[in-house]
Amino acid sequence: MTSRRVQTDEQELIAKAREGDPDAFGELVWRYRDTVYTLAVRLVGPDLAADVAQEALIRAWRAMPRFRGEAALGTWLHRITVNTAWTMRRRAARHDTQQLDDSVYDEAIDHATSPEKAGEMIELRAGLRAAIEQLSPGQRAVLVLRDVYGWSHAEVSRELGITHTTAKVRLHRARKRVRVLLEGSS
Amino acid sequence: MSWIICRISNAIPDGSRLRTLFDGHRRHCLRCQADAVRLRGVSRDLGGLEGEVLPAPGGLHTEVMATLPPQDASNPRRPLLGRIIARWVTGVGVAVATLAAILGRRSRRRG
Repeated sequence: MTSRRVQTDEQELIAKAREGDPDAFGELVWRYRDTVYTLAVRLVGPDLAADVAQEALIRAWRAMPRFRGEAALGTWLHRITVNTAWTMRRRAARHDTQQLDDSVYDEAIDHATSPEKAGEMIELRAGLRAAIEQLSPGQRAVLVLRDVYGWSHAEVSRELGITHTTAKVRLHRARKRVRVLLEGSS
Repeated sequence: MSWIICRISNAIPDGSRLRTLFDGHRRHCLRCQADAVRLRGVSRDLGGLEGEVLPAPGGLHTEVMATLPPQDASNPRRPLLGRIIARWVTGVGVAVATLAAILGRRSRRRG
């Protein structure tokens, strides 16, 4: 199936979902559930991620008639996920002191890495994940959205409801903290 | 003395106007350049995580589909916007109350 075909197919599903077709929305949920869940894990950790992902997808369903396709559906879902995670962060803060359950990463699917580099990537990623988990929720959100997902400072500050300056300061501090943590673990 | 400048310079985020004051220092300081390279390395490594997708729990799709409420075209950002507005209103309220208290105290002293 070509990417254009998939895209057309997705546009049809979106149009139907906007009109209240739960089956069409279910297909979209099936396609995007992993990426939404992954972002949720990065923002709030694995303990709360399933709740955040579920709530985000339900919010997306309720808001579907508002979706005008100005951004890609994946981007829109990510924004809702960030918002949901951010509003649930007080609950997430209680989970921050818990140890990470690394089994959630065991089946990580990687579409971008060749098998040869897999070994060193696993080690590097484990270090990065452990370091991210030790950041404050505010620093973690900015770092993940900016450095992992490549959002602009403007998008990050808008979606998190913080100023440009706050976003930049948090990012700078988060990068330095991650660097220190990585150097400490190596 | 140089290390103090390095520490101040490195404490200022990229893109900040204040940081431009230290451009000259950073151009010649090997310590600052090494620091910048390490930070860029962290940023690049983090970018590599984007390709990693974690499989959602098996029941997520079923649970979402089983709990779909009626569509209401609600703004998915509303809860956060509400909190931001509430924070601003609280801040303004506190500022007004403080100002009123100060002015009230002054007028009592004069009276």
